[in-house]
Amino acid sequence: MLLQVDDLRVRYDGADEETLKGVSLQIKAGERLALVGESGSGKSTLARALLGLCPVVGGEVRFQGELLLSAKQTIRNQGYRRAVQMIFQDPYNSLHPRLSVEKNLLEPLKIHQIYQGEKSVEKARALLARVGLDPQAGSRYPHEFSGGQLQRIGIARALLTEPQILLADEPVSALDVSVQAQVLNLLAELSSERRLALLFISHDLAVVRQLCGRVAVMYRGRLVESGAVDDVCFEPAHPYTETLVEATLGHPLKKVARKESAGQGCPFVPRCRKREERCWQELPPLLENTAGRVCACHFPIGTSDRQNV
Amino acid sequence: MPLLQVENLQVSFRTHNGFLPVVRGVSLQLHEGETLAVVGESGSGKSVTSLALMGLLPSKARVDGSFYFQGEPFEPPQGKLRGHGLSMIFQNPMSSLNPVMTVGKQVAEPLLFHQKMTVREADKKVLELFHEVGLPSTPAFSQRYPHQLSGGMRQRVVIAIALACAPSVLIADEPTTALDVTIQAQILDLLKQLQSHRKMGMIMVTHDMSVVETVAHRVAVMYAGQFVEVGSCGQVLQSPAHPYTRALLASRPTLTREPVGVLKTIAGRPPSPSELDGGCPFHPRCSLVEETCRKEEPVLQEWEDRAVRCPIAKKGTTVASPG
Repeated sequence: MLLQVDDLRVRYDGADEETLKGVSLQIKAGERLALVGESGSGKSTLARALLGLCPVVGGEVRFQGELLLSAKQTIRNQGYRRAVQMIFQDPYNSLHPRLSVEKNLLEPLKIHQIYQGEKSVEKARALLARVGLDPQAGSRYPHEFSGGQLQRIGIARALLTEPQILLADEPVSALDVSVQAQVLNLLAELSSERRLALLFISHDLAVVRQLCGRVAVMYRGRLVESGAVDDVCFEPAHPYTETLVEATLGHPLKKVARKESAGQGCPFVPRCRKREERCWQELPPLLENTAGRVCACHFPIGTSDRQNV
Repeated sequence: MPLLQVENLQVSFRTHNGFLPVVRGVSLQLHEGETLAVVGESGSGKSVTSLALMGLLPSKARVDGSFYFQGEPFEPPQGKLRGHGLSMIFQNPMSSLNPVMTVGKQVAEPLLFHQKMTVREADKKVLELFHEVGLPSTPAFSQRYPHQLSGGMRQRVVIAIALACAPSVLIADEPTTALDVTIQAQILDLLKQLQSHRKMGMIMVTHDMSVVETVAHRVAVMYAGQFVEVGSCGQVLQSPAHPYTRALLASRPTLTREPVGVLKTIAGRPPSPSELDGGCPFHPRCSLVEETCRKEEPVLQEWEDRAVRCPIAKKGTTVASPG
């Protein structure tokens, strides 16, 4: 197992509750895992926690079997820092505006002291070419590029340290449809040719299905469902996943009368179409229903009451 | 008689290299109770078109064209039609609301300004509007500030402001792009309901084909400042005619059980206004390109159920579809 996350908990200073309330997942080498959920579900926090950017208050993360991160231990493994890189939603804001593209790209090589001088410049140029930019691109500045080109530069910079895992936080949501297709194809190619694992954060299930094999659905700081992407998209077990799928397909919304929850029950209960008395009282555990498929729901959707697709 | 009619809208921006044409001859008609989606990628001129209709472009923009509202000619830069005639919703609800003013006051503003209501009348109307857009219709809610609301609620407040003076035409510029997919569905649902209830004409500006599918009756696909295909939503999405529309639809991932393959892409990028060379603006990226495309800019031709700006596509409908 490349990366193993167990019961990870994050609580920001001054927050009333934990932002991540115990999340567990595994990523194998070369695997593409998607994290989906709405804003505030904790998907970006999870990615940031894996970079050591969030206050972890519980649980642990193991990298190639070795303990990497817990409430008591911050990330000290320099090999891991090199092995995990991130690309962001807004590619312009993630590059230094007053450094040329080439200088931007050389930063990680300097910091990690991987290559020096000519060798590092050569490496940066090769990667720019690999992501589909012309050789002169290196001497230009970020504001001279379009959104799609900037995201390619962001990808090139992330790949310079030869990572094993790429964390991608909504990398195509700010891009136009035709450019989005180019960047998705590029990510798929790079991931296959380098055996690069992807943790792909998105709110768009259609995009997720295009790129990833497995998907984990988050709601309010917890995983509520995960499994193979086609199983989750076409046979959702959790009512929240069903809502996401319906919204993506543009189906009319089912009206559910909202009620305030007392807090100890299932967090989705105020919006749930299948709720029953028990759901208000008891938090459903995350259980493995069938092989490779987990769901946190007292009354998961069975084949009999699946309404769509 | 159409509610809103625009003939040959041209917008260009003054730069140090002269005027750059951004919208190049857009004509449209909008009827009562109809939703027209204007869809295109960044830089296609779709937002500039909607801002031109509202008269909200900066002074460095030169706007030409004829505008008719219920048959009467009008000039967009004057404010007489704003509010009750035309009204607009913008993409980011946080930046279109005043952060230091209660939401009640903001919804009341157009009522006081355009309709000269008294404060008491306006306050009452505000609660009715809150109810109509699905917000709590209580005086306590009126007292809240934008930062205390979620993104979806803020967009509902913006919609309430836009509806305050009962506009005949509502222009929505990417109203759901900044929202979560489930909230997006709720807001689109709301707009649809309001529109059919109030019989408004709506222009929905978007880059998202699934939004078009959900709300629009007719769709206009925009490329390099021109409409390249206009037709009913079902027809255009089912059987796109213009090579750009076809390529755009083919490049989007869909949630169907089809096996996942490499996504089709459109090579190159849209031309900037300064790069237009007199030929078809799409020809460098087009799979059907012929010699005439490089020399002559095609015109929008009526063609059975729609209008298409491509003589080759018309000629070649029976030939293989482009990649």
